Amino acid sequence: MARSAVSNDHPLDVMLAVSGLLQSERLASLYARVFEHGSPTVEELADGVDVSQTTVYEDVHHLVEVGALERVTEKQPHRYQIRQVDVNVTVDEESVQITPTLLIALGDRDSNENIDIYLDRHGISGLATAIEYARAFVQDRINARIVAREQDITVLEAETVLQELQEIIHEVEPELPSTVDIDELDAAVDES
Amino acid sequence: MPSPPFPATERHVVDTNLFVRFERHDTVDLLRRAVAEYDISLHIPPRVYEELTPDSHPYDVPPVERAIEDGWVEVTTEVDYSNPIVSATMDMVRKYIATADERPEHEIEQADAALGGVAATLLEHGAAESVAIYTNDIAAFRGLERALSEHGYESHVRLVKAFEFVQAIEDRYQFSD
Repeated sequence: MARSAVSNDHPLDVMLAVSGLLQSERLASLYARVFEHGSPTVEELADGVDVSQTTVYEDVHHLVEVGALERVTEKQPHRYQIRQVDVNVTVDEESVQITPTLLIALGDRDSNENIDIYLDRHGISGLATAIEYARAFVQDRINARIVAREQDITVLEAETVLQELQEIIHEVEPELPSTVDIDELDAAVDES
Repeated sequence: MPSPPFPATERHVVDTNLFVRFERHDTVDLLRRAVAEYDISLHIPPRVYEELTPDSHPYDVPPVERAIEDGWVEVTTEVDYSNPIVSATMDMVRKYIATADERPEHEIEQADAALGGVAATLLEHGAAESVAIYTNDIAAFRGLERALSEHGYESHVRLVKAFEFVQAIEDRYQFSD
């Protein structure tokens, strides 16, 4: 039996598995669809996409093996769910977090024109940066004008991608608090 | 009759984030119908107009441009920077943005506080008794509300949370003619 890379929990194995997802639009899109369906079967995943059921089966099998998906049923037809991946890559001083949100946003590019355009212009690293801003945006801790200045893009582009990512974050990270506490904010302003 | 989606204020001043939400959802036309039904018009500061119509935009004609031509969105007059209450309001808005966003205050441009400046200008010039601000920037709104309440305008400004408003309009007009 093939060893599951993640069952070893060696960070390098996890990183290799995740990097496979980042480099394959088809795999990222499959990962996103598994999330969107909740816990689908292979047949449900193959429904309405331009990929054969055999390929979907092989891809699902592969993603289970590398630890990105897990099988959640004992009997056939099997159902699958995403696994929480959380990889932190640090090179020299800079670090980036690879999370299910990034993989799902990436997998959504086929159906989401604004994310597709953003990826064309700024690449995966740009999208990862935008997701970090979007987490603050969800919590009312940043606005698009500041993001636009810091990333040297237009306010329209910043606002658009932040709103797209906000909707994904609401789905994928529902535990994130969604607004500022006005009393705390008042107090912080008075102290400053 | 369902309750009106717009508060009963004299002016309705809209931020970039509200309009972008309708553009993304391709539902600007639903907003137009709501505005027509209640016979109001929406105002945007010149700064918001600039943000919605950048040199490189993904449309032939930006939706806001068409809305202005059709007469239901208007660009407001410039902000009266020389009025001390207007400038105090804008300073307070900047302070709130800087605090909430954890950025040094000098990184927040005065134009970032344009909505606050417009609201204060309208009230100070007597152009409106009451102003509703449609935005998702809670910190900026809190700053303008607090500054204006210090100058006797406590109940003259109302916050309309942009994304909740968009949802309400879409729910109400999506399936009606």
